[in-house]
Amino acid sequence: MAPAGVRNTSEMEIGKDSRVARIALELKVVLEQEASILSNLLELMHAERELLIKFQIDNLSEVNKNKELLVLQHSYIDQGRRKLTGRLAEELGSDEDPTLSLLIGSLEGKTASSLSTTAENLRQLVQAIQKMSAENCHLIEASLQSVRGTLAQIERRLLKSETYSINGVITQELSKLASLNARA
Amino acid sequence: MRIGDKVLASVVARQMQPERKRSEEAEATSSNAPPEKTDGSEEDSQKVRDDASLSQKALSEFDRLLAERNQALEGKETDIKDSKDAELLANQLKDVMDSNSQAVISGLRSREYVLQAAAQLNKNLLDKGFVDFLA
Repeated sequence: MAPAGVRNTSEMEIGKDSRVARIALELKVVLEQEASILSNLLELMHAERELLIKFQIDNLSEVNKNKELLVLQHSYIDQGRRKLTGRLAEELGSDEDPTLSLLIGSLEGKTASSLSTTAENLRQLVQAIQKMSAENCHLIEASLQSVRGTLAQIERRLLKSETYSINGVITQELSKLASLNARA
Repeated sequence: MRIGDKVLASVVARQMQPERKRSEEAEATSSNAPPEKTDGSEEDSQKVRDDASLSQKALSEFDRLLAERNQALEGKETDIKDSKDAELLANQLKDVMDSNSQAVISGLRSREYVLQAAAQLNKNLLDKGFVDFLA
């Protein structure tokens, strides 16, 4: 029979393991919720890309609204994730603001592998979103140049001003539009 | 020269032609042929009758010319009215074109704002803290 002090320490260890497992499970649930939101966000970004390619800017407004909603939802859920991460870090005795890899490294067995799978899924989603975001930003910039060039052209016609400046240099907005058309 | 004036000048010229011809003939007769022995009072009365007839003709011609001139002026007024209508239409057309251009500009501006919002949103899709956490 183990001495009382040893038993107490062991019980404390078991209690700690149990708490860590419970917090890790909660963290996994929250991370899966975040993954679900990011997956929806990625779908919206694909839709955004299609709209930008087809230059259907009017429908982009709806996509913007839905994206904004998802970003807000993610932000709200991520606050919960931070609290859980803090609690888990405290239980594990690690940094106050650890990375997920560090936390997984401090965990054992099933809990660690389960969190690891979720983490990998999240990383892939984040990478895909970042890539798609960069591509869409490029398309948005091209669309903006086209819209601004057209605007400049119409406004110049209304104001009866010239396409070229006094020095014979084509104006900046029209120049951008021309380069855009050449690229297309 | 206005249309009415031109017409008036040509008719007056036409009117003057027989009178001038007659006076030339009379001159030629008086210089070449011996003077006829006519009764002076009868000659005078004939002259008066001719003059009266001529005056009547001139008066009629003048009335006709006046009528023509008035008609020509009326035509001009119609032209002026048409020209004013055309100007009015041109102004209306310009207004419509301006209005359409403004609508197009407004539509393009709205698209510009939507695109700017999309660009802004794409830059802030993922919280840096979250991305760092996954690293």
